[in-house]
Amino acid sequence: MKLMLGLATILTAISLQARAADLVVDCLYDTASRMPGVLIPFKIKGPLMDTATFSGATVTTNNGADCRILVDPFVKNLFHLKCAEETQVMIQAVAVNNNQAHQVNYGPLSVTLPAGGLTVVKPPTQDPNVILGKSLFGTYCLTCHNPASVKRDRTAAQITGAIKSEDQMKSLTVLTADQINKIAAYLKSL
Amino acid sequence: MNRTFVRTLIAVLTLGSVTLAFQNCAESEHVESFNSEEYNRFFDYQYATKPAFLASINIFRPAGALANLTSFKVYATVAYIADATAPIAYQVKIVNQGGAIVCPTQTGTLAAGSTLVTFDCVSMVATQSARVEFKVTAKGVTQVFEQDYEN
Repeated sequence: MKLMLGLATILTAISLQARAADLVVDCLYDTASRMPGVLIPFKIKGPLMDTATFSGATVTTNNGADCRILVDPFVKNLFHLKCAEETQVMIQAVAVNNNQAHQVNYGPLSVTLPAGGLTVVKPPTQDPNVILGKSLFGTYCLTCHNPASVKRDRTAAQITGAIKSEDQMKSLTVLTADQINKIAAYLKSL
Repeated sequence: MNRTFVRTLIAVLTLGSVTLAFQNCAESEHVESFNSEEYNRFFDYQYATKPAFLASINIFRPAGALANLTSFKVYATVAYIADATAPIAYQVKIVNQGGAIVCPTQTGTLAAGSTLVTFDCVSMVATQSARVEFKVTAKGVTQVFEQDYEN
């Protein structure tokens, strides 16, 4: 009987330890960078992630602050935490392997403003399409069209036409109609 | 209590303890809809393609200071996704509406594990609006981030 109970204890301990070692969450920002209003990046990693799929994460706070998690749409196993105000958070991240969910906790993590009674200077609110369009322009267009203002007010139709007719732009057929619309929105904002 | 019952009980308890170790299997998803207006406003996710760096530019002014761009503190954060241990060379340039440099350009290198660039900017020129340009390089990869501010 003692042998069986001892075995049960050992097996339980081994199973918990294996889970902790196979899955970890790493914050890519140092402590001083974890401020309200900033997208704080995290990576879920470990040997288990060779075969597991990152399922998502949740966040809890110590003061009811508005904190949310965004799974990165481009980078595998990356997610972001953003808090609207100062707080302390705990994060629970989940990965699924062979239809079995594994959870790992991270925290507590403090999200704080710089010391000294500073107030945030907020940038002017921008249309998200303009923000994304600017990023796309920087990636695909800026090399040849710098500064962007030389193409101010170009419409999506004009951009599409240029991609079809200009030899140097033929590689831009990778751009979707939605992406071209966003680039046009950015050029219109200049 | 006979031996058979006790052995069965022990076996059940053993199996149960192993099973319970893998419990806590409730999926906990909290993924924002990528298309909602509210999501766009809250997260302000600014990458249209897969980024090499994750960065943000933030400026602050001391409490009680005038609400303009005469004097402020810059806090720029950056991480290189492919290798968190790689040092990151940076340059932070701030120009005004006319393209004039607002305060001395800052350059340096962030050591491994360090992700924050911070400095004070006291404007040398009239500044109704400012553009902060944050250029970062790690392992031969360079990216430029920009953020505009107005008085």
